[in-house]
Amino acid sequence: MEILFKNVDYIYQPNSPFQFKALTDVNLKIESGSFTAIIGKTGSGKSTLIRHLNGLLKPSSGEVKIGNLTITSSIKESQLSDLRRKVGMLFQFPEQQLFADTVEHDIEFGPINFGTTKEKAKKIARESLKKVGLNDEFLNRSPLELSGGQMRRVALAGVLAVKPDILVLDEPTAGLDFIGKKEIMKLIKKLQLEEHTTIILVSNSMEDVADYAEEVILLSKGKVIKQASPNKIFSNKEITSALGIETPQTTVLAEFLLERGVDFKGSLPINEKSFNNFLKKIFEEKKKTRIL
Amino acid sequence: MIFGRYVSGDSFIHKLDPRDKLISATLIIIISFLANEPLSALILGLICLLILLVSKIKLLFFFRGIRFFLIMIAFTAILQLLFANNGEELFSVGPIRITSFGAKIASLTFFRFSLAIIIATLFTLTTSMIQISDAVGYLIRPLKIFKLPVDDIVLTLSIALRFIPTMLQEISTISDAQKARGSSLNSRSIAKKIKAIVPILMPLFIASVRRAEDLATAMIMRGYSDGKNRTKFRIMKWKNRDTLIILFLLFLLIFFGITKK
Repeated sequence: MEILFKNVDYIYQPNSPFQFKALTDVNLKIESGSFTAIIGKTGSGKSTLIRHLNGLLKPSSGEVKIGNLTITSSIKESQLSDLRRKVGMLFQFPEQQLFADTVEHDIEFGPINFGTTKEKAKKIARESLKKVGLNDEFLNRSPLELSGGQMRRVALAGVLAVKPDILVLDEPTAGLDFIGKKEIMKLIKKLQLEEHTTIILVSNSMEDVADYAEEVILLSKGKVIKQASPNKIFSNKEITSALGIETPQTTVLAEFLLERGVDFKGSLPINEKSFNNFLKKIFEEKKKTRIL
Repeated sequence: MIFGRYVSGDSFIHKLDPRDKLISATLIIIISFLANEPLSALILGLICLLILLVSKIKLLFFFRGIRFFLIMIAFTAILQLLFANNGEELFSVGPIRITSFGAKIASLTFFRFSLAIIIATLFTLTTSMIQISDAVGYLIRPLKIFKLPVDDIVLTLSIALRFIPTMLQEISTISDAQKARGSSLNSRSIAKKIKAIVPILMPLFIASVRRAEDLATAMIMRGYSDGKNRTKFRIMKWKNRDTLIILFLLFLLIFFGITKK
């Protein structure tokens, strides 16, 4: 399903002393089946933006189009149930939302809410748990006795159980160790490639963004500054340094090398793969100059 | 909903001593029970309006915030109007008799309860949580004579108040997460709504217990023992104007008390 934002404004608590404009004239398009990252500093409107994707927030003005459903400020809650099934959302620190007595019941919560039968939900729980890399043993355990990383996987399984077409993830790897992070990210990428789920990732880890995303939406103070490929965003020094956006470590390293007099023309590397190419080109260039 | 929230400002009301505001708010509510005639009610109502204007809180925002309470109170008042049978009959429609006694009771109910809500809301809107707990702590200090652990009570109170916004934030995050999983929180059917509350309350309880444990550990690590003989960072200053306000309200209390029929 394609996602389209047209002149979206969002104001928190309008007409009160707490009034706050969180989004200003947001226009964007996210293709079906793509992997899009949303980046920006704290308070730039990332969380507000993603809450529009399943109607938790309705635009104060403008419209959001998801598939063939148009969300405006006047849409009724009853019209959103179908959308919530199609758009799965994993919030920050999702282990906090676990509530049931067993892992199985927690994963079944979503499917049953959306009208799946008990037996079917049971089967789905098993499958979803497998998808996130946990075996059947976990089904009857209490979610509260699991480790942080396991809890996060169970929460993810709970979202996947509904088989969403669009999966929105708000910092899914925050607070996990290196291996845990990598596994979660790989799993998400796999969902995109194998099940053609549209992935929307909010992240502060620019390495993750550079490694996995195809498209980046850069937000600042509630406005979309730029929507482009990670390569274009991170090599645009004016934008990243003006907004105080970190660049991936490989880019930082490459810049450091250039400062020290390494000769290279072209766009800077943003991840391991492009860094390898970067090094190769430098050495090839060096060889040529030596031969001459 | 604005009851219990604080809007920072620098109005005359904001700057009053929180102890004064707490005592005055209580006094005004007590006085409202003595003011059972049109004239005294009018005086009290005008006083409240004056406080509201001086506090520089936007009227529209204020009344929209307490709209829910006002509607509930009006509803109660209408019920009293319909079901009170004593007194002279003013008029009747079918089985419903509207009596003078009913009308009096209904208008008094509406007046008293809305006044109480307005004053209580004004108090919390102009007094920060920390100021409130400082004021309560000061005012219950005499109870130390009865071996009441006043310092501990104040600490508990200020921690509880401190975490109200945090918990509200948590509730909104958790309910967003459960709504995203299709929870029927916004459903029209009440049975479904009640069922949808468990998945929100459970995580909230768990998080609160965890947080309490963390907080206790952090306090022990920083050498907290008890609140006895602690000096204060925020010192409350009682000024002449605070005394004057209390005296004026006491005068009003006695005056209404004597003239009450």
